[in-house]
Order: sequence, then structure tokens, then C-alpha cells
Amino acid sequence: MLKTRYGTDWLKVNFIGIEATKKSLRDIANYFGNQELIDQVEAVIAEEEARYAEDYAYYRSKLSGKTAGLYVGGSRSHHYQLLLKDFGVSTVLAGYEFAHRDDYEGREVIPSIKLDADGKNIETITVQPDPSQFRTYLTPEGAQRLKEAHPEIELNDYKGMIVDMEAGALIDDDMNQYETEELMRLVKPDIFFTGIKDKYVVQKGGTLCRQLHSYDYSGPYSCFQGAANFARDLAASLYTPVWGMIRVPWKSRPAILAHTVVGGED
Amino acid sequence: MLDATPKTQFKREALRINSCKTCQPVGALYAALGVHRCMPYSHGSQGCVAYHRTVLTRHYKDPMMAVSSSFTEGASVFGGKSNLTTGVKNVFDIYQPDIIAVHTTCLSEVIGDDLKAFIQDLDIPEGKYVVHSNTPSFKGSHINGYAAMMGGFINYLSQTTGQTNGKLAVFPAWSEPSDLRLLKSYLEQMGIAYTLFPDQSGVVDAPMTDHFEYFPKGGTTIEEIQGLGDCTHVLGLGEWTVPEPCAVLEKKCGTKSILLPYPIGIQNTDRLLMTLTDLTGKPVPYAIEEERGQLIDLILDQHIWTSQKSCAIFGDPDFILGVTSLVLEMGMLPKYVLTGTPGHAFPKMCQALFEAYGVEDQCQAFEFDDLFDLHQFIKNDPVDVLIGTNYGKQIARAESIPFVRAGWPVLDRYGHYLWPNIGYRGAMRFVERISGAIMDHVDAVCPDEDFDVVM
Ligand code: SF4
Repeated sequence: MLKTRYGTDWLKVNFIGIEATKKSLRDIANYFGNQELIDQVEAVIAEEEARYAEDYAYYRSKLSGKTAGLYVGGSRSHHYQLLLKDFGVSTVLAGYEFAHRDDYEGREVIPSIKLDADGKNIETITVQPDPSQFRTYLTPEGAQRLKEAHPEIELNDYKGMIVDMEAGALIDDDMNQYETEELMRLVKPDIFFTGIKDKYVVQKGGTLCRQLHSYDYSGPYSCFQGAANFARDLAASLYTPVWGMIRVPWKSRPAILAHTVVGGED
Repeated sequence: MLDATPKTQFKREALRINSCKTCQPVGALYAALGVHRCMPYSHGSQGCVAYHRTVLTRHYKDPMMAVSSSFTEGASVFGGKSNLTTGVKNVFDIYQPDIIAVHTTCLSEVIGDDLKAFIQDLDIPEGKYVVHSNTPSFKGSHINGYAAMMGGFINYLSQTTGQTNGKLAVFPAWSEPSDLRLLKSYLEQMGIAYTLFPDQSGVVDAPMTDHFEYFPKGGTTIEEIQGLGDCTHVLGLGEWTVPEPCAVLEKKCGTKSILLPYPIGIQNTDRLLMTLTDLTGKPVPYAIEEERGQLIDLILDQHIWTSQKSCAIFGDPDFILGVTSLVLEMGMLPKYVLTGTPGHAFPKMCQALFEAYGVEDQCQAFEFDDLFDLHQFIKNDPVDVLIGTNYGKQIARAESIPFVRAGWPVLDRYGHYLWPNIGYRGAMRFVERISGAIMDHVDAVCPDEDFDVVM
């Protein structure tokens, strides 16, 4: 709407994830095309990556090959997939509670979205350009140059969550409790990310569950240091030894050695 | 207060600073309090037993009755035989215990008093007993004294009739009365006939009534100690402390023993319960299984506060081996595990635990060490939590580290002796207190914007 009314370009940026943070910073610098800014961004990326390189490598070795499920709102189900991918964790299940089709499938589906009962309750706003304040930073030639030099920049566009997901991964919109439990059973992710009300349901079922609404009282998880924090917390959780002690040991032994001496010297 | 502790460490051979142990008779006295109608008797000067009673009383906040040979210069030169003879007579006459448990002190050991011969010559009233143990304080620690006094009782009293009494004997390492109560509740819930020796519950945690009793209801009875030789097995709880009394009983009566780690932590408790089943055929009831599940649930719920956190643990060998095992189960790193009690077996036992969790490169164990050293270790490479007796409080304050009081002694708090350390319940309490201490510290030092009611 800002774009239509005032001409302001927009970029979908994301500072959750190492690669995502780098891309977001570079997209911003490249949009403005200011060399000093571009150099500064590269300097920041080099410095931050060097600072956390050891952490990243260590936690990648701990987390790589694990699988995750995500059920949170406000872009997090998408953004955290990128952070997980940085550490070799693949997302096998993701969903939002209050998303629209374009959040999953990208903006190209907007014209084909049919209004449902919910949608009809919300007033539709039609925005017209405001000639007195309409101003676009990039000239049409500038925009063209940017497109050619940086085809990776998705200016004024969002391609949705699905494009970043692996083939075979599941998406479930607005999961209810029953669906959550059934999907956990089917997909068996190593980690499930959701909110506080679901957390202990999932945990009682024997799967690690961390809240992504509140960083689970840790964090922050954004940018470079945040990625290291996130990986540290995840490794700490996954490798907590009691996971291996849930089973009651006297129930899983083959037979009870009744009345036999188990030690002592003869 | 300890702000002057230097970072640079020097190798010290003879000198201990802020020791992490006390003298043998304290343990002997405590073991004797675990025998019903027993009067602990310190063969030495009054100053020794005054200290022993004081430190025990300050921990348990209950009367710790004990007597002394009251050595003066004369006894110190000519030996303490006449002091013992008169002392024992007076104690039986005045306080009327059923049994007197004599332990030696530095002084009587240096003189070389032969307690065994002295006691043989005593005129002991019918139906009464006098036993002894040698507890020289220039060797070992209160833990050795505790084990030695157990051996003393067994040596004098335990017999075999040739017929089993069908009971399981349980020898715990130094335990809080709360832990002995929990142990008994496990045995009773499983329907196991047992003799717990010693058993200070009901003695050092006696209830408030309107009259003081020299000999409260608690304690292992003389008959039970006599019957130890007829027990089916001895279950020794504490691989460091109780092998000695187990060996004394086996030598005297042939009773076979099974040694287990002191049951602090999930797996140590699991082993205790499974061994009880193995020995008796009795299953573990659901009520105990439920507690186990609650403990696992709690550890998972709070794990983000303790996982990967480092700690230093100090105190008595079996107790801190158990705590070490528990913190490893919680995903913590026991960077320094230190006891003042001498014995090379201790670091080896710790090492085995470290290796089981693959943290042997990051953790160290020390025996016959002191708190000055521990403070210096922490100064050079800090920890997130300190766990140990009240003597850790100065280090915790100097270094601003969360501090969890555990073990013996804890002179600066009340009520700890009422809550267990062992079993699943005891572990729950540890988990609650360790995470609580870490979170209290966060609350105390975090910036306002991070200060939150939900954690
Ligand atoms: S003299 Fe020996 S026995 Fe007495 S209090 Fe001192 S160390 Fe203990």
C-alpha cells in the first residue's frame, strides 16, 4: 500500500539466520547502491562471521542432520527455517496459525485468492497514488540497473514460505491440537517449535519443544550473535542427558533376577 | 572478605587453608547417635567433644548429647584408663543409656591408650554394652570416623546364629535424618524387612514435645545390630564410606555385601531400587515410579537454566559423588569436584563419571584438598554455580556466584535436615534449588529490561 500510494519500494528482509541476515544486509546496501554502505556491510559481515565462526562450526557438528517442525506466527515459521538450515537442521513440518495463502505461496497468488467468510468481515481498503507525496527513490533506469546487476533482490515481492522448503516437507495451516499430535506422530521431528500452551503437550510426548514466541526465556536469536545463541540453546536442549532416562529402567529389563546376589565377594 | 585470595597457585604439601573436612570423632559421634539409647563417649579432653557437639548441634539445631573422659594433665601423662573406668560408671549411673560408644581422640591415640584392654577390664552392668572405635584425627576425616564407629559396633555386637533372619541390612554413608526416613519409606513401600544401621532419624530431628529426652525414639536397636550377622545381605550405600563396615561384618559373620553409589541422582536411585528388587524379588511400586517421572519432567522443564552450566562441588566423598552424578544427568559440567577427605579412590570414581558423559577433559576431581585451592581454581576459571557446605559462602560472595548449600555441615540455615537429598524426591529438591539459585542470580544482576516475571 505504501508503494501504491507513495511510491516507496519495499524489500522483504529477515534477520533470523546467518545467510538470511547477510542477504538482507546486502540487499539493503545494493538497493541504495552506495559504495561506502556496500563496503561497510561487507566489513560487518566479515567481522561478525569471523567472531562466531568457531561457534557456528561447533554447533553445526552437533545439530546437523536433525529435523524440526515449526508452528508459530508472524513470519517465524518461515524465517526460523533459514536459521535451522544454517546449522544443517531440515524442516519437515511448518505452519502458521493466522497466515494467508500468499504467506505460503507468494504474492503471485493474491489475485486468485477468493474471499472467504472471515475475509469479508474485514473492510477492503483501496489505495490510490497520492501525487503530492509520491516519490520513488529509484528512477525507472535505476530499477532496471538494479534488476540486472542483482537479480537475487526481490524488490516489492515476497515468494512465500514454500519455495524455501524441501520436497516432502509438510505444511499445515492453523493446526488444531489433534492435528498437532497426529503430525508429531507421523513426522517425528527432533525438535518442535511452538508456543507455551503446546510446549508441554509436545514435551510430555517425548519430543523437545522450544517456544518461539518468547525465545523460551533465552535469546536474542537474531543476526549473527543470535544465531550462535539459538544454536547453543538448541544443542543444550537436545543433548540434555535425561532424554535418555525417560524410560523406567526396571520395566525395560529382560527379567528380574530375583533372589540373586549382584555383587559382593565369594 | 576473601577478596585477597591470589590467583597464582603454589604447590602446598603440608599446609591446608580453609579445610574441607573435620576430625574423625565427629563422625564417630554422629554414627553413635544413630544407635537407640546410645551415649557417645569421647576418650580425651573436654575441648574435643565440646567442639564435636557444637558443630553437630549447629547443623541439626537439636541436642547432641555426648560425654567425655575429661582428660587433664594427669591422664595425658599416665594414660586415660582410670578416667574411662570412672566415666563409664558415672554415665551408666547418671544417664542410664543401654550402650556407650567410645571413640578416641588425638590425645588418647598419641598416648597409645589400649581401649580394647581397658573395656575388657570394665565392670559393665548386666544387659548394658560398651563398644569402641579408634578415631585418630591426624588421619582421615569425619567420614573415616563414621565408618570406624560402625565397625566398632559390629565388632562388639554382631553375631551369627546360623539361621537367617530374612532381613536385608542397609549401611548408609553419612546421611541426613531426612534421607534415612526416605530410605526407610522406599523399603517399607516395597515391603522389605530390613535393618538400617546407623539410623539417626528420630534422634537428631526429634519433634518438639514438652519434655527433653536424653534418648529419643530413633536409632538402630542393639538387637538389630546383634542380628546383622543373620541378615541375608548387606546393601552398602556409598562406595567410598561403607566398604569398611561391610568388610568388618563379612569377616566376623560372613554376611555378603553389595556396594552401590550413594543414591543421589536418577541413575543412582534407579540402581538402588533395582538392586532391592534383585535381592528380594519385590517390585518397585507405582508411587515411586511416579516420583521418578515427576523428576524427569522437572529436569526437562527447567533444563535451559542448567544445561551446559558449569559448577564446583565440594564436601564429603559419597555425597558429592552423588551430586556430581545428578548434575551430569542435568547436562551440567562439574568442573571441580573436591573433597577434603584423603583417599585416591575418590578422584578415580569421579573420573569414571566424567568419562561416562565424555567431559573428562573439562572436569577435575581432587581429594585431600582445601577451599583455598577451590577458590583459586574458580578465580582462574570461574563456574556458574557453587554447590557445597556453608563454607562455600565466602567464596560465593567474593566471586558473586550462585551458591547452593548441600551436604554437611550447613550451620547457617534452618530446616535443611528435614528435606531429602537422596532418591527422586531429593533430586527434585536439588534441581529446584540449583535452577533457583541460577535464576535468583539472573534476577539480581540483569538489566531492568531483562527483568521479567515469567522465566
Ligand atoms: S584434638 Fe583431635 S580429636 Fe580433638 S578436636 Fe582436635 S582434631 Fe579433633
